[in-house]
Amino acid sequence: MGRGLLNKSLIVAGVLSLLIGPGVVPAMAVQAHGGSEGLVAHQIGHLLFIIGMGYLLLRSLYLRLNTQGWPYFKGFLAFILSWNLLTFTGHWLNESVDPGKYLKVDGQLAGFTVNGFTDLIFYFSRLDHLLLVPAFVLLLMALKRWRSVP
Amino acid sequence: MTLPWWPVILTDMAGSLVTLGLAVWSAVLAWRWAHRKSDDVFRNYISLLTLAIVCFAISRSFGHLVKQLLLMNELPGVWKAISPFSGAVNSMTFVVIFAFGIYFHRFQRVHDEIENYRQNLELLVEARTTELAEANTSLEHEIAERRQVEEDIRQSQTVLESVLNSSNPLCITSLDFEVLQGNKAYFEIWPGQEDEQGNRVKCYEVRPGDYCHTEQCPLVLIQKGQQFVSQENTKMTAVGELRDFIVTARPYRNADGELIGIVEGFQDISIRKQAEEDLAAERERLAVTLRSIGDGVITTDINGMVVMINQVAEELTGWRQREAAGRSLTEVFNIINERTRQPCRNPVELVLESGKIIGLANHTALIAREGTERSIADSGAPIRDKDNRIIGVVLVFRDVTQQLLMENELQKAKKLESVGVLAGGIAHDFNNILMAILGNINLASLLLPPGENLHTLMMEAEKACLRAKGLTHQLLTFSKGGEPVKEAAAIPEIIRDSAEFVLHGENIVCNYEIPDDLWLVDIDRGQMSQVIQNLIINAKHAMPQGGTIQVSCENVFPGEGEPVPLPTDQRFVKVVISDNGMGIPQNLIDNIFDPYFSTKAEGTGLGLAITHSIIKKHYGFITVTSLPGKGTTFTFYLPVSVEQEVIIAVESVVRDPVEGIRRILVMDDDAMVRMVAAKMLETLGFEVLLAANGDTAVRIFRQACEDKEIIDLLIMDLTIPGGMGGKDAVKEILQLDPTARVVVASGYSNDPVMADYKAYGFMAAISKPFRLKDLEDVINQTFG
Repeated sequence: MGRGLLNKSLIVAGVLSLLIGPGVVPAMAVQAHGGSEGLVAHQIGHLLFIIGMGYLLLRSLYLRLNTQGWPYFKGFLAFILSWNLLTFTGHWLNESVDPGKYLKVDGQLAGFTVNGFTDLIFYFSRLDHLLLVPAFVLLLMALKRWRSVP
Repeated sequence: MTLPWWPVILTDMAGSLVTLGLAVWSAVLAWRWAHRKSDDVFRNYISLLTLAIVCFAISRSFGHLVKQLLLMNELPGVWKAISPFSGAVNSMTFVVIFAFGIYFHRFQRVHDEIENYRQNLELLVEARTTELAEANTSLEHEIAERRQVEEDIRQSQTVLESVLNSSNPLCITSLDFEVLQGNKAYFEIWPGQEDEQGNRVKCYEVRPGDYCHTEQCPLVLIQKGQQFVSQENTKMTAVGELRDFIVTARPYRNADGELIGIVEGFQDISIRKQAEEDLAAERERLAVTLRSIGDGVITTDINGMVVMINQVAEELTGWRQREAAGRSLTEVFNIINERTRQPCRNPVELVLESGKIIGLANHTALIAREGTERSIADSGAPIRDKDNRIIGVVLVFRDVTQQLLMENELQKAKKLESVGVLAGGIAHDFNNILMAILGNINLASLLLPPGENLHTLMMEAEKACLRAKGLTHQLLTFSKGGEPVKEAAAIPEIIRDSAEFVLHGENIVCNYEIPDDLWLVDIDRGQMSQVIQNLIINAKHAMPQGGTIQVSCENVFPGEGEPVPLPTDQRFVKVVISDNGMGIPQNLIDNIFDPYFSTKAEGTGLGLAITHSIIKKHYGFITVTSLPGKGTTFTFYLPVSVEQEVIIAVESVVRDPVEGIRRILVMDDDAMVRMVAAKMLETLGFEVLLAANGDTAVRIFRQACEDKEIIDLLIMDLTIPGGMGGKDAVKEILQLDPTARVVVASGYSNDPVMADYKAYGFMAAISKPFRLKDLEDVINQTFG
């Protein structure tokens, strides 16, 4: 039990390090979350999501849960973790993204100017469904697999 | 580098839609999966986690779709207003998901524990199930075995019951004499184990027997230690019938070996006992029959060994049953041919060869054990069993010695009879001739003065005729026998005449000791003469070298101590005839009066038998004493006649006819007899009518009756050959005139009619040949 809590603390510390390390980015109007909620709260949510799913993933790996739907579920966990990391990063980068990099045409966003790796990461963070959809596909497959087991 | 934003929008919108769809689908799957096993913790966890994730996805997707739609419709302000709520919901779902995530281990642990428990439980259950299955299998085996055992027991019980119920009556009796159990056969004889009060019945009450309440009771004996009891016992059945049983008893023990009663078996032997009794009775009947059979019976086996001989066979062979049994037949039954004196062939061999009943050879003599030889007639027959196989031989034989003797004597008697018939016939004719001779001599002597030589010669001739008459009487007596025609007579004359007749020319002297006052006796002269002659002849034959015969007579008063039981109210004349001849052996003296008994080879054996018979018919007695080598004495006793005066006849005096009698009818088939009789009657002064047969006599008498010419007397011959004799004629005469006087005349003086003439309607009888005096006497007798 003590060892488990230690592991969780290491994981939370690691994630918080990732949050703290790159710096804080300013919030933007196009962000998904409004100012009343606050980015920090949302990011903490993502962190909790990450911690939770990460712990679940690590646990399943530790327990060598490889039967039935677990492979798919572990894949889901990996993708949802990845999505959480990407989305967390995106939210974080969104605060520091220059609104001028958004290209509008007729008032509609038409493009984004990528001038560095972070911009690229930000851009791909806006394509988070590329990770979320596979995650749910894997979740669905896991559930199907479990369900198919007599 | 400018990247297009439309992939972002497109990805966001399409991704949201797809994510939404996938999320809902996942939620449904998760719910179904969890609902399938609602107690599964892991399933519930995944289901709830999935639900949380789905809520996140729905919230996020819905939020992104609304955002894009609002932004596309240039409503950012609206998005701005609602975006916090969308984000809050997302954040909330993040927390929930986080909670599920970090508590996975607990869920997992619980799940694992539950699973372990379940697995353990399942293992336990499985193990227990296995155990139970094994136990069940074992139990099923046991049950099967038990059922098999029960079935076996049931079968055994059924077999046992069948065996018990098909056996003789059996019962179990307790030490308290209570009937515990019994089989069907037992209860058919003695039904009921309990009385009316429901108490068990006592054995001595329900089946009383000989040994009840005694020390011989089977239960008592078993209790004393006997292991097996077998008794014959008579017991009463429930219906009151007494039946015989063989009762067997054995100890009845419980599982611990403790004696708790007896098992009794009852074998009904009533029928067997009855059969034994019947068999014994039959055997006794057969034995009695065998003993009672007048013939000898010997049975042998097929080897010729004697098995049984009866009493008669024992007497004839001289072998007793116990001595003869097992011996060869030839040893016990020694037979020879009487003529050849050679041993006869074994009858058993003959019977076995032929297989049939055979009569053995004639002239077979049986040599008894002590040497006695007997003539036997025998036959043999095979004894066959029920399969018709010969298992022995039975011989039946009898002593025919006497029979052969009798047959020989019978032949002699028949010869004698033939001779007698011949003699009788000759005597009859001779009698008639004698009648003529005697009658004429009688009449002629009447014409001569007494004292003249011629008169004397006539008297001698008359005596000779009378002697001849006596001889014919003997011949007739010999030929026909018959009752004596008795009259009062002096026996001395008959003795002397008979003795002299027999001894004429012999070298034997006869001495007489006869008192002058010897009483008269009622005798048939002819028969008595025969008696004297027989005795004198025997005396003569006893002295072939000559000797002396002593004849004595005396009057015997009653009670004078004679050696014979004389009636005390009768006087007798005793006549003793003795010789000094060879005598008669003592072992033969009791047989000398038996017919056909003779010590002489040429004798008929009838002389003394006739003598004895004649004496008996005269109501007399005769005895004999003899000493071998000394002589023989015959003594006979004759009743004294009431009349003690002999009417002396032959004075040749012609008397005047009986007053009132004038006509006499004479009936005789012989003309000479008629003529002589007529002359006699005419000499007596009667008128004579003659008839040759009964018919003529009846006709004459009838005519005389019709003519009122009385015939005062009829003298009719008894026998008329070929015609009506006097016996039949007198009946018709008496029918015509019941007062008619009829006299019967016959040369057969011993004829029953002559002996009892009154019974036949006659008034008198006269024996032919008769003299004038005889005729006159009978006439006077008739009218006297």
